[in-house]
Amino acid sequence: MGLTARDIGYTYSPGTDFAQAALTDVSFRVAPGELVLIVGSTGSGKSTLLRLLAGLLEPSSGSLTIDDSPLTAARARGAVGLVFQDAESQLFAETVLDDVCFGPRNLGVSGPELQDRAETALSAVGLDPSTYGARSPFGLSGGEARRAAIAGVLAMHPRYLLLDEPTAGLDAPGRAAIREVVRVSRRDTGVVVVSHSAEEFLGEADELLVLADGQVAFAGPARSAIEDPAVFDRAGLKSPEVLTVLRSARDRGFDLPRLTLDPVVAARALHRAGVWAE
Amino acid sequence: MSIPVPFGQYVPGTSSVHRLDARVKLALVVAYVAVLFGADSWWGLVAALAAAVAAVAISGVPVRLALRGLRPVVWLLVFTLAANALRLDAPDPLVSIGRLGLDAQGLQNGLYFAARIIALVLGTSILTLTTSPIALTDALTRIMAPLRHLRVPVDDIAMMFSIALRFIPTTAEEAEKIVVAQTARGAVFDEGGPVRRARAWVPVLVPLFVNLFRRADDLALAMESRCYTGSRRTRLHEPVMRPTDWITLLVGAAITTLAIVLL
Repeated sequence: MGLTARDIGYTYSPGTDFAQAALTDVSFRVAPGELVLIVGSTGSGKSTLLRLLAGLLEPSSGSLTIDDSPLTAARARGAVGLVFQDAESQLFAETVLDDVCFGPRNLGVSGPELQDRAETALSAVGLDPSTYGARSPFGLSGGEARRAAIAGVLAMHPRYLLLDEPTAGLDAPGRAAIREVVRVSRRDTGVVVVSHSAEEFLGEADELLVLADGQVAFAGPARSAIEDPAVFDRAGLKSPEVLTVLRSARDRGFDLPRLTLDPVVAARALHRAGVWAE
Repeated sequence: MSIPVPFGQYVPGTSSVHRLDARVKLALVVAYVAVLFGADSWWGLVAALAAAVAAVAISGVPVRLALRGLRPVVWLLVFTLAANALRLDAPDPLVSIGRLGLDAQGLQNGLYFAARIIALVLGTSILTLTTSPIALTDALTRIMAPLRHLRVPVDDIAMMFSIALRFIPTTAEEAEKIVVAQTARGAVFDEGGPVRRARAWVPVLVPLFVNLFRRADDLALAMESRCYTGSRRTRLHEPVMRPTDWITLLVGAAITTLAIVLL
């Protein structure tokens, strides 16, 4: 089981003067119930990788499999849900509920099941169907619209959920709501989150994939990335600030056996280690 | 996945057709169309077509691209031909099926009008194939300049043109993004009959237009906050008519006049 990429590469406009290798030899795997975080700076190939995993692009080299069968556009349809960057710009229907129904309806779902799926998906993203269902998607706030767009993908019941920069441009409550959606969805779905910063999802992620210039700069348990700051430096990314503070305290000889991304837990650990006394 | 977006068709190049001042090219195209409709005979049509073919040859634009402009009018051509050539109860049909007959004179007329459409599309395509949209807008603005005296808001119109051009690639990119996003939600764009296909574009067009209006609003505010008042703007590169431009214009005008008078 799992959504797997083996040594895949992708080149835009191959065979022309504009040929540009976006990805080279990238291997990757996400299993149901897992959360994989992909980070990389702008232009590192993150979004291309997501489009490949969703079957919207075909790899130039290497192979993609979904639950042990080769991934095709037809197999990806419905099984892999992709939420784009600023997904709210894809909303189109007259009501939020109708928009959420669009995906499952395309998959042939109808009648009471359609209604049920849409309402459940809206509840899952924290939008009460009785309040939001009948509203126009164009009257929602940025965070609400983003969540409505995610609900539209969740209602398709994908086995794998791919989220491209899901928290970009949202305010703090909006970001918290999206993190909660990810936490809930990963119970029975393989979730892949792409981001240019590791700050938001590293704490909850099982695996981390760091991309730099279309190549894998790091692939391994998220936990080991927390312990090794070099992972982020190599890809030209900033290490989460909490980790920078904890590490500098550790470098000065304070006893901090376990690093954490949670600021409250970090503050407690610093206090216990006697940093405040200095 | 890439969606072919049929915006703009400029093929960069350095041929003499490319280098010709855009104002001259515009004038010649107008003259060309005048010949097409003014010289109402097969000879006029042949002369115009010959001129168009010569221009394509000199410009070095691939023939395939020059002919691509005909694709959207294929149905118009078929309709023109059929509407002229087919006749009910024709007195002396070439071929007939029931009451419907193929009329010889009608067929000839149909061919003539279809050929005229082909010549029209081909000739005007040369302008857009060899002139960058920016050069074209500049040319239009400068040709319209005298209208300022009649209080026509020439500068505002020019600004609207250039903003519209500026947003074509952005809009194409946005359309592509929404197509991919809706595909990821299971939308299918290339199946079923024409009605179903047209309906499949609704989820693309609605958000596209909503975003465009929103962007236009933002842009208007941003321009106002940078003190845009719509006054006359100056240019960094003023296009200058070179001797070759004048010669081409005069020769073109002479040929046009001759063609209309003689053919």
